[in-house]
Amino acid sequence: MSQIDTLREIITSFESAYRSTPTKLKLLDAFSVCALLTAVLQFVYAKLVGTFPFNSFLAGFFCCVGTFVLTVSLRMKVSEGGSGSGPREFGGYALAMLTLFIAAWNYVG
Amino acid sequence: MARAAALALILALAIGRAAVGGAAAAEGAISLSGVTVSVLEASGSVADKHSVTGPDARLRLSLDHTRTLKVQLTAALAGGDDDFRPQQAFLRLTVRGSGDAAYFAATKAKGGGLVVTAKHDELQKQVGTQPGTYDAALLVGDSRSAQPVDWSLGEVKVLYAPQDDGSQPEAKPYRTLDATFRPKPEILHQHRQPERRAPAVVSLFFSLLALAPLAAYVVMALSLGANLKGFPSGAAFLPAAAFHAGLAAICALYLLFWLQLNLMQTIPILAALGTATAMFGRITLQGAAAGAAAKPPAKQE
Repeated sequence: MSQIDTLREIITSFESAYRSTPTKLKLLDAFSVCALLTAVLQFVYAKLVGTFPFNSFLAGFFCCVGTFVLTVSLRMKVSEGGSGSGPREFGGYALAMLTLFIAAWNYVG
Repeated sequence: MARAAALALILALAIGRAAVGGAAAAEGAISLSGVTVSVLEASGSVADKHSVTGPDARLRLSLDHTRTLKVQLTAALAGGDDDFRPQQAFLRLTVRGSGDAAYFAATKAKGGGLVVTAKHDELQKQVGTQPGTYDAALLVGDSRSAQPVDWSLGEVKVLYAPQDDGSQPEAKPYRTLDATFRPKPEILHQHRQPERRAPAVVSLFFSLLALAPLAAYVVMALSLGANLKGFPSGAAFLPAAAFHAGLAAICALYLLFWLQLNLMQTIPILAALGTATAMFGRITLQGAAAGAAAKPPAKQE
């Protein structure tokens, strides 16, 4: 029982701490969760239906995973840099995303 | 065995020609005696035995896949040697219907005379699998006689090893001789079998499902209070708008690349768009970073 209480405590403290997170970071979190969810859906499709255009599956899946990773790194940069940082990181993020996308599109076929 | 059959055919033709033309050296007629037709079991025991005395015997024999047909005969030439051995002596089995024929050559028997053995598998080698009724004939010819002997022995019912359901196998006629000269089956180009595809409905459904998180993100962002109020206005608006338009244009270019362009067409356009976008981006982001009070543009990309 005490373990469950501890768990609940952790969750509530996390919730209250997360509430004070800037909206910018919340948006980034939401976006990375969505990217991960899309990757999971594609994986489920491949498991259930089949990986027929296998290159397309790989492209889509890794594009989502890559997006997730890049978004998480942007979030880390932004959160540690304080309110002043952001635009510079966003430029790098946009460049990285565009590179990832052209690689993925190229692989979709 | 194919060669033996071919030789037999040629010799059989030679007999016919000799009969028509009438060989100059012909002396007397060939007579047969002691003709015995027997069907032997695999063990060698006699299952059926008939004695044939004339050229039109109407025997009814049955030859299944374990049995052997054996014909014993003695040939004599009128006015010839006592120990006459004909140059050609064959048993011919003709399939009723297809007309294919198998020939079995006679050999010298131990106790004098001639013997022909027609094994079932040898028959199958010559005419293929053709279950049904065959006409049996005995052919004897020699250059010393103008008239060859052609005795009809009757019919032989040929049975093959039955299939699992007890029926006879389907007829697959061929002759080894013909098979040698028959064109080989044409080699056709074969395409790889297309892979099994899921129904389009399922794929479409999953496409929508994969897009759902994006829609959910938009809804979530709006509920979190995202807005475009931080978007630069005034003098900074133009580069910021150009930067975002450039990003959108690059994404659209990627879509075109996927749909119709190739990489070599895409890269120059991408280079131009990328340079412009980078330039406007630098102005925009520098301005955003410089204005400490000003909020960076909300990412609603």
